[in-house]
Amino acid sequence: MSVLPSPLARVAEKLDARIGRGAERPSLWPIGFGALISHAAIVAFGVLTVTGLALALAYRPSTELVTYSGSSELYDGQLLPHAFASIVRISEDLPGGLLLRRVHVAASHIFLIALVAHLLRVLATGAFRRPRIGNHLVGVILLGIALGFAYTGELMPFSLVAASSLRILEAVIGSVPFIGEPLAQFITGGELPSQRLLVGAWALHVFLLPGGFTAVLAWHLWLVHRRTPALDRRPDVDVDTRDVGRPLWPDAVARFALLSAGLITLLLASSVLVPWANIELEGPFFAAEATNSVHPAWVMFFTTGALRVIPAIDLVFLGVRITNVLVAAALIPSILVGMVVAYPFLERRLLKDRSEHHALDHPLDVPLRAGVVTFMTTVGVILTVAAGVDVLSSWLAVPVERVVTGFRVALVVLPIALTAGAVAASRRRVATFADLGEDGDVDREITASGHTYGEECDS
Amino acid sequence: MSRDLGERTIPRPDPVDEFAPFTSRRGLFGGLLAVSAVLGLGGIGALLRFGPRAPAGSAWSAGARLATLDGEPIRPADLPLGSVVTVWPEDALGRELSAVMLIRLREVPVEPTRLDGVVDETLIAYSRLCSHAGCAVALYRDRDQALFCPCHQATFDARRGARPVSGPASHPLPQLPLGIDDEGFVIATGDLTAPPGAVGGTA
Repeated sequence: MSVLPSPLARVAEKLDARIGRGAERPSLWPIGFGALISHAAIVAFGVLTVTGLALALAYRPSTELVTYSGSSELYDGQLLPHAFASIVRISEDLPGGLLLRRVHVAASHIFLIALVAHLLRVLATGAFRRPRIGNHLVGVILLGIALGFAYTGELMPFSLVAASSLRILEAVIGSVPFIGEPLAQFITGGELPSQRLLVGAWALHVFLLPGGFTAVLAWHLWLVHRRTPALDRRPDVDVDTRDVGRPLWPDAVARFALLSAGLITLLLASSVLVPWANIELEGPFFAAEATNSVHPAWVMFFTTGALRVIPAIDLVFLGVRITNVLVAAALIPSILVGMVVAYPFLERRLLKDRSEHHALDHPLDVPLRAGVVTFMTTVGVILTVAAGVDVLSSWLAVPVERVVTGFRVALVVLPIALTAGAVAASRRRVATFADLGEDGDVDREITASGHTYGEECDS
Repeated sequence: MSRDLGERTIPRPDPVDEFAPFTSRRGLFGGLLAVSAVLGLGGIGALLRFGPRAPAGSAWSAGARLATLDGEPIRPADLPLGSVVTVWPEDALGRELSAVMLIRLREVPVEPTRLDGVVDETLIAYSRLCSHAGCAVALYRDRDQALFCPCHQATFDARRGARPVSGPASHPLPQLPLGIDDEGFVIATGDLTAPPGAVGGTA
């Protein structure tokens, strides 16, 4: 099989024999850009693990004030929280430390971008349908863990940003009627700086979340293997009845190695060119301080944006108080995540389609799906951009109140308009292919280019 | 296949009845049991380790002198027109929930400010933690005497009892009633008019 016998080839062949089941069911590895997205997330997770392990050796999860002395001119001789001082030390005093931190942060961007893109692709192409509905839910768990990574990772330097993030988290938990306030009290311990809170976040970021992510990722990939990957339609093979792919060695290994090399090159290059994670711009935690232009990790922007543009609300009834925080940071994110979880069940009920699907659809193949995905994406994007109202306000030289009003209008108008547009486009597409198809069964027989497929292939 | 691209193809696996791993009843039951066991044990452990503690709150009380972070008490004359200083009770310096902004307004405050808590005509104090999401209301705009929270742009009118004027906040900032002691230093004459920080979901 292998062109060049090598130790790597032998390992790959052993692995192949193990996960495949002999000649009648060899392990097949998907190719194409879609698979590249999820593979990029895995490569990024690997980079995060390796750089994270190295960083964890020099990091100190403590809020205790210590005097930093070292080569950072800005912080030399200053009293800093130990966590912040250890990050300054990593950046300024340890050889290669700044590069490690930057690669870690840059890899986290790639990681989150890849996860969000993977989710959007799954939703838009209907990859969540039977028999992959369970694996879709496993994927949502992975996304939840990734958000936990982003949030706790931001707390690690115990900078001014971390202080604001913690206060906001406490407010969001506390905004839930009845159980919220005791829970927030329990988690944050009431007052910052809270040593046990930092230790808790550190334990999550360094031990629990990586362990959990690794385990759930293994489960996710095992399910992908058992259910076989959903594939794009193609003219030569009916992917609904047949799985197509390449062998592990050398194709998949070469692809993965090339992707890893490319991504790591990109990460290193960007770490040299872009001052990611510039600790000097943030400053240490300081009681009761905050400043302009402090933003959370971008993947949390949609909650920040909602907190900024949802109007002030104060509804009191039956001992419940509904505030802006409850609506913007608890209800809206819950609804968005809930839609991601519930949509596969909704679709199979509304379309009365409980059969198995292995071929990916065009995003406009199902009007309901096109509409729901467009709606969720539009709301998510508008809220994400809305996290920058202060920055937009200074760029455009418009008072921030007016920028906020603009976003409120957009939040009402754009999702409805774009959803209606997507549904109309999807209906037109379905109608066009229904005219072209002999039996009008768009889903099964017709694809984007209007060809009918289904000939048996000779493998 | 016509051209050998190194691809292979095999039939898809037989349809599976369940959408594993969530359907098999035994699996689901076992999973729920395992998850609740882990959460329960973790929860008990966390309770034993951290335990519920007395709610932290503001440390202000009648007679407490206002002091800067260095512990310096403040006289009304220390604050020029339009200036702001962050202060704490002398015995709770740097404690976040007790952080208060002492402001020298340009104009005399009006209702609904608690006017008996204003000293020297224009010296007024509010909690520094935002009633919206608990961030520090760190910016003061002298032009319209507004307090501005950089986190979510909640804006409060410092001259009118720190009522929210724009942005997402629905409640005013708690006011700290002020007085002057015998030695001429600014003191608190009571606790903040409301608990500091974000307004919770329980009315």
